[in-house]
Amino acid sequence: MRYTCSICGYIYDEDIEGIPFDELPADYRCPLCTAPKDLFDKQETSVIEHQELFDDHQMHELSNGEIAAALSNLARGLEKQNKIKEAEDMMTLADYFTSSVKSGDASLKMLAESIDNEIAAIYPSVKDKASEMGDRGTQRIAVWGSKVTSIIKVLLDDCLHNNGSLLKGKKVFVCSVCGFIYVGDEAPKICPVCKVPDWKFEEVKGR
Amino acid sequence: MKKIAVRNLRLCTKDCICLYVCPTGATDTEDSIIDPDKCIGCKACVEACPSKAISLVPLTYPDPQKKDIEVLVMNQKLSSFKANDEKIARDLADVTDDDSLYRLFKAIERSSRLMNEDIMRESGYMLPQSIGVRKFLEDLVAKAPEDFPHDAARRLLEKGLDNN
Repeated sequence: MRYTCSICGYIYDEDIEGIPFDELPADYRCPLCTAPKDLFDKQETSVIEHQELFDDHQMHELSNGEIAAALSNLARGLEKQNKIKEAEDMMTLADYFTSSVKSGDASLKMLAESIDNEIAAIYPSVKDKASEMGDRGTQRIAVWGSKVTSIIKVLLDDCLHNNGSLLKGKKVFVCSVCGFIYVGDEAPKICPVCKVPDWKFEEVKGR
Repeated sequence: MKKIAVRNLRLCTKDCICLYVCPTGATDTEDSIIDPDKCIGCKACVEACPSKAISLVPLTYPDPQKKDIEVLVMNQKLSSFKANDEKIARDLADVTDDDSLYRLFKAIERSSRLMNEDIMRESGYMLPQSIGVRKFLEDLVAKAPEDFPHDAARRLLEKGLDNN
């Protein structure tokens, strides 16, 4: 039997490794991307049913946080076109909306619930709709985003139940292209999710 | 369609063959950015570069692909979650005393924004020079309060986003 890492595609082949996957220790992690054991899929995977979440098919007005993301994305687009002054102006607009987002109640539990909801319901719905409509660009963000979000869930669950043991003594890196978070000593040679080289990773520094 | 050469500094190995072959001197600049006013799009540097660090880009971009309304509704739902995650992570980073947690929350804040930018790219906000983006900015300006950075918006709308 073969098991595939759902994050980076690494294959654990029982025939080659000699140890049945089920008998690996509970803290076994993907040697490439450090995803935990429960993010591996048996190769004959079954389709997970999910509920249809969206009764409301109206577009709502964008919130300040959403506007900020649209604008900072446009700033990055301008930067890639070498339009540096224009990129700065666009980023000024983005920062205005970022700082207009009101702070409110925030807890680790709220964040974890939001992430769980995305993985269980939102991403599957986006994937289904994009695939139904033949929108491969949206399928891409759903594939990348659900993987990145699954790793965030692993890290948050570790904070909730294990006191953040995974983070102790390790550096934290973010892929500047897809947002993949890597906890380790140095950035991976290629991003397990979007496959860009290591220099596209940024280390997140402490205060 | 007129095109101009752009140099990827990450790939450039400074062999400087582009300086020899450029008929207008556009590739020889103090900041390594090929001069868009001098470049005539002849492609000589693209073909000569041993590191494949130069490519041609059009001055006028085509209209972005149309998006289905049902996909847009889904993307917007996802986007609202990411904006909320970003906000919570930022707030949590602000109050934590623990250095590990601070770095994790900052990483989640950044990651959520990056994913949201990608969602926006697939939701009609891909090309800065598109008509849709112009309307989006005009709409923001029309509703904006006084403390909004009006100068930056004006520069973009007057000239910065021209698709010529």
